[in-house]
Amino acid sequence: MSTRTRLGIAAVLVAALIVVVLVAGGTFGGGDPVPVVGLSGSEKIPFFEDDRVQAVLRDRGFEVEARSAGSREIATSYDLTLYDFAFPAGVPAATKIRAENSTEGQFSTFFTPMVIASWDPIADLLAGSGVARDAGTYHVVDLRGLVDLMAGTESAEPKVWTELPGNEAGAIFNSSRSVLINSTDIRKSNSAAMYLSMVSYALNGGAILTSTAEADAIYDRVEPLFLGQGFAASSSAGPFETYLVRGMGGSPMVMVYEAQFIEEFTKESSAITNDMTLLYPEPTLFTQHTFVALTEAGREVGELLSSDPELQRLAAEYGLRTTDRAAFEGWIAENQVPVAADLQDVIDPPSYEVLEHLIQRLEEAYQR
Amino acid sequence: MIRRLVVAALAFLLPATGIAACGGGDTTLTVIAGSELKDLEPLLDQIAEDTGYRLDFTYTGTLTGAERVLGGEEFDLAWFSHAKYLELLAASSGLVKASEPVMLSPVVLGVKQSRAEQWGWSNGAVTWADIAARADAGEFRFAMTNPTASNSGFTALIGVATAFAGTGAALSVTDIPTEEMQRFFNGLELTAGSSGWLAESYVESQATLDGLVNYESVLLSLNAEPGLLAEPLTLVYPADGIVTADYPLMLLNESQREAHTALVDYFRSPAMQETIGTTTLRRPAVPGVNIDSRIPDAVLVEVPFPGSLGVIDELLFSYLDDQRAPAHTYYVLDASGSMEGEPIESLRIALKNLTGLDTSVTGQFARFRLREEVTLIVFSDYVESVVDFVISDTDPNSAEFRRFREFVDSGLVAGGGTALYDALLLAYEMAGAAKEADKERFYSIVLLSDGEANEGLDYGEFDRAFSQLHEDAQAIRTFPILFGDASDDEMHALAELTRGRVFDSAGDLAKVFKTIRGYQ
Repeated sequence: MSTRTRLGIAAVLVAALIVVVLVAGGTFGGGDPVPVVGLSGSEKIPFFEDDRVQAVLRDRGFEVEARSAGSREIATSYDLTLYDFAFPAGVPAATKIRAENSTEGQFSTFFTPMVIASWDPIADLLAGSGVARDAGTYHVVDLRGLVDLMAGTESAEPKVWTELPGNEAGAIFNSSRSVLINSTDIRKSNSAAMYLSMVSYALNGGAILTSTAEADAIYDRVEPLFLGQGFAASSSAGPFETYLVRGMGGSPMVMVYEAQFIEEFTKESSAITNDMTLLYPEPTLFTQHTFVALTEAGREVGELLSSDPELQRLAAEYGLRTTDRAAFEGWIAENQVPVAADLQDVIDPPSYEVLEHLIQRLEEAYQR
Repeated sequence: MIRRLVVAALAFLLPATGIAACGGGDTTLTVIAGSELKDLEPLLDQIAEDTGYRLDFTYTGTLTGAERVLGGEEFDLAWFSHAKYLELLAASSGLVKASEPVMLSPVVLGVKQSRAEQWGWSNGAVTWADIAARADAGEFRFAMTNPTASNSGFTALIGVATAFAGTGAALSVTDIPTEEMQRFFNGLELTAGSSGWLAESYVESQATLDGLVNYESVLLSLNAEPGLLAEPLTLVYPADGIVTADYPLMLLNESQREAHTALVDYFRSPAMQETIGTTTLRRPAVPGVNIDSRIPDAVLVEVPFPGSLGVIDELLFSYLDDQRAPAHTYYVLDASGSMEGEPIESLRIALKNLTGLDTSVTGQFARFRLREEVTLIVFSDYVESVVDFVISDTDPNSAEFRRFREFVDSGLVAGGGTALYDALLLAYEMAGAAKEADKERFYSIVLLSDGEANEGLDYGEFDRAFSQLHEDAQAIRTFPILFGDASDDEMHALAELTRGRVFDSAGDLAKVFKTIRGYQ
């Protein structure tokens, strides 16, 4: 096609568009969509990149671009004056952002439980150790029992996989690695902070930490669960992708958001295979995707995300739970997603100060 | 309003006209990349055609690359086989703006088929300890790159050390398994600063080696090329764990964010993932893409990668100071009249840098290390001096390093002719004798001359004398440096004769002396 023809077609299209716009009268009525740029935990990037989400937002007057960043990293490593919003995956990171920046309000938008992406043979091994049970399409794992396997107790050393009953000589999973859950980097990302919240609850005898003194008392057993993992990804999309691509050998158990699993499961070319399963920790913890507005335009987008029925419905298709419960449950049932619709045993993270205290101690340990 | 509509109209046009609509041609992006990415070169035209972005690669090693990025050299993108060292080093700098894995390849062991069968490594659960036992017994002689210079060696070192530490968790400073590592490295017969050169050298020296450590993709490619190997390699994936490289494409220049996003989407599309798989024999980094059928399908146990720079540095120093066989390097140095002034001064600096005066990331690892021996042979019309140094303390102010610098300052004086081959032959005789006395060292020769031989032996006479040497001496490699008016032809002939490698100084002797350290 020659340049001339191309320009010709462009001119015709422009003319046609002008006609369409004039006839439709007001589709673009409010003027150009306002460009809004923000930082978001990586797990919500596919939602923002969905054409339908973009169309709804554009229709409401906003051209939204979300860039991927670790939730805690948003608070620590970016110049937030350059952005309209920060959208970390949890309340603690949002609190940190609000504490250190001038903001235009905060919106609770979506929530999702923390789950462990794992494999049937692993679930069987954990069941054999008495810490997991088959719940039909998924598994339930006793949080305190699992943490004891990983962190050890007064009477038992931390376990490696080949020490679990039924796995002698690596019959089921031939790995001399420690029994550990892979999480993201605790210094950078929300999902690791949520994991830390759960670990601290278990090691504190099944009670939410209420002081830094309580946190210090359990710290020595917390540290190996994070430092033992070694290098960790800065955002939650990383470990989940590693789980999907590299299989059981590298990722026997990975701390993920339930929504990540649901989203992958309902994709047209899903990478979820039959031997993959979710372990629901009991108790678990919901992470609250919290939108922090940094500008006026950001604030308006935050309001839309937390209240617009169309956006809430689309969020359900990404596995996110919202105040519209029916939308989520309908999506799960329609697609036969092997997840737990209703969760009863749910805890809260410790206060921001207590959690931050633990994170900072871990941060110092990484420097050693 | 109108402008936006034109943009909208163009967006409609794009699918029909392809990339040509993107402003009349390609945008060139500068990429600092690991040399292992050279195998993507056949795809570069297609990439430019499909995306509108032409990638202009500058190849470099692991630590050098990290150092150049941190040093503020301006590149749009960085692309290494893995970037964890860079990420740890640059953690607080914000230099890496975005990073996405593009393809995967584990670093594993290629073992000659007959050996693998003989030792039951073909289908059994082999551990690093099994491998170390064979290496320690002198039965398994292998090649691996220098971990301070090249990603494949670096990755392997981390895998082996973590597996030997046996804690099941990421390596920490207190549990670096020095003795087991020594046993393993007793089998290391060939090292190099680049994975590509190592693979080529393995092919040349395959008669005297039993295998090599490299990327799965490189090993499979060696097997795939007809007539290259006398005996195919069996790929061994140790059961106690390996490390997989994930080739992240990193954004360094914020203003090219759009290009980075477009390239990442393009590379991670299922079609391109399959193309990469068939072209390079790497594994897809994206879920749901078929793996090339030539790649074995098995559960790979991945060891955790250390989470702190301190551990990695400690491990690298331990490799150099304790684990590997110590090097004995002969530097054959030209002090003829033409070296007068700037050339001899730059040679002095290049040598003294290796005693701790270069404090950069790469400089600290290029320093002469514990147990190492260095012999300087200075020549002009004749061999002027031969001086030995034995390193027992790596402090820049140690007595031996001071003695080294004093000699370099006073003993390297330009004047006279160029009896290059007399000096080189002497180096071979000395190194050969030293090797006969102590086989546990890694011997090599560096040759620096800025002109053609005009005294003593000529090349042909050297060649004949060389062929009379003991086979142990003949196995010692020479790394000639192209500098000044040195003869390109003769230096290349020398490298070929001794199975070494020519390095072009490009006027920067300090840099090339540092690079060659990866081959010693």
